[in-house]
Amino acid sequence: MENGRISSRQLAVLVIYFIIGDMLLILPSLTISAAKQDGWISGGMGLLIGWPIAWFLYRFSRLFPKLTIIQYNRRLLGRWVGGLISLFYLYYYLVTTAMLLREAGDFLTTQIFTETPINAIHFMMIVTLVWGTKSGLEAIARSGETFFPLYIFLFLALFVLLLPQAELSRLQPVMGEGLRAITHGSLYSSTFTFCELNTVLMFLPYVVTSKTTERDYLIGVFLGGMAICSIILLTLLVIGPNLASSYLYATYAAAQKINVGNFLQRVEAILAINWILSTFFKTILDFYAFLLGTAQLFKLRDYRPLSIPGGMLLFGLAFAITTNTVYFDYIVDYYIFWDFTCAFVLPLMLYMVYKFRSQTMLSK
Amino acid sequence: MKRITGGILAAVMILVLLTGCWSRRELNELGIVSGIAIDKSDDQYHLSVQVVIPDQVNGRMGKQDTPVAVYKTVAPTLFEAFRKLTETSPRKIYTAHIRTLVLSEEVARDGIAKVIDILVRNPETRPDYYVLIARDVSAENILKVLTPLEKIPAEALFYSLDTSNKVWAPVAAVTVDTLIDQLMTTGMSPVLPGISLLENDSRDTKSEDMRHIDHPVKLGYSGMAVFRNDKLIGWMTKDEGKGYNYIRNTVSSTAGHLKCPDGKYISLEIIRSHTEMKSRLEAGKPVIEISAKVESNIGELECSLNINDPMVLEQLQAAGEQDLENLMRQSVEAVQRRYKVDVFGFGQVIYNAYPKLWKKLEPQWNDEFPHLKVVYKVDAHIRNTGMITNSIERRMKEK
Amino acid sequence: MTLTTIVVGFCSLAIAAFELPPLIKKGWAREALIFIVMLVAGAIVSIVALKEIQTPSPMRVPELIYKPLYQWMQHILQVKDD
Repeated sequence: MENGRISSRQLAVLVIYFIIGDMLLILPSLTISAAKQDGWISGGMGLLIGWPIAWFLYRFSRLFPKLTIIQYNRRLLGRWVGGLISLFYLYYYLVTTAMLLREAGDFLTTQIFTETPINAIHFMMIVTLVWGTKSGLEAIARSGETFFPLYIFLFLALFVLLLPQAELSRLQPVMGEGLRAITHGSLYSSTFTFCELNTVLMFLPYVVTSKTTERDYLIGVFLGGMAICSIILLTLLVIGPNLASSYLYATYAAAQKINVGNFLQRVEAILAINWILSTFFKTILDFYAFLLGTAQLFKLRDYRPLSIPGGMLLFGLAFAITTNTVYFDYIVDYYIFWDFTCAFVLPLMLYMVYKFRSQTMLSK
Repeated sequence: MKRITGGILAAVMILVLLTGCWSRRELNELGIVSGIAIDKSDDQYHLSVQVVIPDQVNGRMGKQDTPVAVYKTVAPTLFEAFRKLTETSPRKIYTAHIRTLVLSEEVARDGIAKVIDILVRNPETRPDYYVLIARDVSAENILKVLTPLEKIPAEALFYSLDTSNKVWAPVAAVTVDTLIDQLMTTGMSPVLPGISLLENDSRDTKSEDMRHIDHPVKLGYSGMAVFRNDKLIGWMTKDEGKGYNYIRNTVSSTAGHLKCPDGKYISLEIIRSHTEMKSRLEAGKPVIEISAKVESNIGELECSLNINDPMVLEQLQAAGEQDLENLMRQSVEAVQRRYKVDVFGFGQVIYNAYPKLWKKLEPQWNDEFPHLKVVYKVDAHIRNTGMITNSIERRMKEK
Repeated sequence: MTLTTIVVGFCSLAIAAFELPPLIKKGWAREALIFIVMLVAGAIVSIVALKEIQTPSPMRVPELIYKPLYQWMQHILQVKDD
């Protein structure tokens, strides 16, 4: 049913968007609250833990190159157990999409549109999501590619404009909080970035494979990870561990400090565009995974008709996730386990079933 | 058919959704606030805001009125006080452009953290304004003084603080985010500049329409306020303030003087100053080493020393080093004796060097701090002597 | 039957009117069925959201599943925090 094909380069771009995703908004505060001034080490550790997981996901997808994970579940585990696991994944995709929507909405209503009801913002974003998924995977990939130069430009601009305000002393004392705090921080920087990448199992089958696909994918993962580490580092250098752990949106607070010659100031809203962009692409890919997965689970011929009802579901769920912003602080500690299950535990289990089955096949 | 309806639907949605009219605020509905003053009495907060009157700042001809207006309200909490402002002010208060926040001594003694909370929580305000403590006067009265050079008084305060910060050592400017950072830094207490009214009793000639050349009331910076955590506990003298600024490495340029053997003065213009703090251990106890490097020029030579002689210059340098060391030492000792709070950030220095030791010291830091040993090392250089070498007076005598 | 319910209901019918006929014409019964199910579910949650009724969050599911792990993690982080 999905006839679109995306190139390796588009895959790499999507992977970068995916990994950065909503991390620009929330990761620095989370990691720095856990590891204080060593947050940047947590970022690095997250990359060390996460990159192998991302590679594992790619290799896992190569077991059945033309099938998405929903389809494998059925193959490997049969109709009922496979269906159950698939439902688990679908629920994950749907709720993650709603969660991402909610995060973007909360950010916009806290910092910029303070009196707008969050539903209005959700509605506008959902319209775009529905439109995007109705246009298909290729369209999503292509629009991602189109925005990419702007994205890189704004990202680098953030660094260049803030570097004059960076002070190395804010990183001190290095390792002062100890390895445990750093590991705690790395829990967040590895799961929310790389483990949420398990969505890639839903669209890797549609990538035109070539000799360089794996390499491109891994480079994309690496670049995304580096971007995350550098954002945490930058936030620390500019506003310091104390402030970063108390502001809800630490990078926004850092961006507020941009002041070049008393002339270029108060431009943080332009950088919000960047944040919304990467969050959007992560959201649309998760939504696409949900729709495609549902269609595959029920053996439908196309997922496109489901976009609008899916959008309505999202609208309701995004609101239902929580009644206020404080909930996020609490839910993140559960989310890390959910991400890890979908990215590592379940695929590993499926891999073992596959191995077991091929053994028994061979022995027959 | 379907396409046309789709197109119309899309057009309608774009019109409705993208014009951004949900919570619009027109410019002429906003009262742009440039300065906020908070006083407290009997459990009620007195909030005064200095609002810019755009017409007058523009300098258009017409009604000659003050460029700003001050609105005041009284309420049990600050948030209510802000809302109450709409009772008197015709426009909704817009706080995104504040330049200065003035707090009265009572508010400061009570604790500034709770007062700052509302301003930081508000997404509209940005953290780049300066915080001042009003000394011997109510914060409200600080906002009511008109300033001659800069039309908006709060901006005048901002710029003069900014400039003084750079060229006059006893004054240090503290922005709100620096303040919060200092409040949250382990072991450290903040220091804020004070401001008061300077009365002027000279009787200058008044012009016909009652405008003055030398305003009878002016604003002036007076000393640095010392806090324990977030409560005001006292004021530093000017010299102590200078020492503090040198240690905190916030001096970029200033003026100082030395005494010559014959009792007259030499003025030095300090052009570069850099101070670093390090920590080392002596018998298991931490010791702070402060090393300052200062470069100066001779600004004014009153006495008749022969400064062409390199030996004389060396003596002057040594005297300068000793002077600065004394300044910093007096500052540290005064704070250790009188206030017993770590305003210099020594705790952070120890934490940077010996994190594990610091974790043990931190809970009783305010008791340990007065006994902390501090060692000074000053390196001063006099670079040049201005356009002339020996003083004119000396040259006259040589004739 | 408040205004919100009516509006949402109307929109859902309009959406169905746009999307269903092509499906039925192609004889895609399964797709139409899933479509209707999702549409009804979506309409219900949308009404709930618009009326701002408090409902249990969808995050309750992972919360319940992972509660033991969460408590274990809190334990190892708290205990060593001293």
